[in-house]
Amino acid sequence: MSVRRSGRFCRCLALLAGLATTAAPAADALVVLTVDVEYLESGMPLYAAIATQAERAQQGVESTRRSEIELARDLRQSEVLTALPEAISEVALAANADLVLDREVAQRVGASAADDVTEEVERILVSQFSQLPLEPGT
Amino acid sequence: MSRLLVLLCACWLPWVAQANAPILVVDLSEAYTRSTALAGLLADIDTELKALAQRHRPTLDSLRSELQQLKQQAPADRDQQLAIARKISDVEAAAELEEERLAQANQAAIEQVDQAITEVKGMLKKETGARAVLDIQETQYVRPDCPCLATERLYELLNQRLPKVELRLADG
Repeated sequence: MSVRRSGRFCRCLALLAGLATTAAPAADALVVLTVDVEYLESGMPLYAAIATQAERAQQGVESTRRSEIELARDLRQSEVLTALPEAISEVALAANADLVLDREVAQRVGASAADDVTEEVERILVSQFSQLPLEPGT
Repeated sequence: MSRLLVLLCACWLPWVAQANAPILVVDLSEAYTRSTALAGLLADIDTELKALAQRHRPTLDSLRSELQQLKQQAPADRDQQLAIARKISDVEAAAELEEERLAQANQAAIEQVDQAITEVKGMLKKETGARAVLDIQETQYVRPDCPCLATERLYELLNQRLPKVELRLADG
């Protein structure tokens, strides 16, 4: 009796699993990726590295030059922020993704299981900016 | 055991359905040309602004020229000049008040369209069984040919739901 019951239970489970897998292609139809926008916009070590680069350049220089270096630092950070959407697009295109959402938005719409590509985006930005001098021609 | 199965069904199937529901994205950046209500509102505002300028310009022009003439006459009548300057200021204040009323009416009309957009998003969600309808600004990237883009359908529904919005000016 219990064997028969457990057999029925297993069949039902298999049916449920079947239902889930038949519905799966609908989810697969849309490739969704996520990124941590807050981290990419302000938390990345790249920003700290740019700040350190500026601090070093400011040592022992007069105030006008210090302001110029400060400005160069701000400009570099703006350049990183401007390059961010392009880096996200690059990763999305490589992954053949349909949508890239911020983690928070993904969580809100129940897509938090989507692959996170924050690291890939960061890698692109780091390779693009980490070796650049703060001011062109220096 | 059957209870366990029922529990599994109750918890798992809605989750599977939710997880498989699509996400839609709409781009409202062209709303002022694609929404008939907003396009009409823009035209109405333009007409009202032109009418407002027409209403006050002749009076203002005539008062300013009168003031100019008085200033050129010697000896100028100070009191008369002040009276005309006050009239000019009154007309300008009335025009500003009308502009303010127009801005408020515009704001109210826009709020009506915003409300309709929210309702239409709900309709779109129901129609497609989507789990969410996101504005394109809420996304970081959307493939240009993504099946999730529902902008056309949104405008279709919006123009059916609210083909026109009225510019209601409060009584002055």
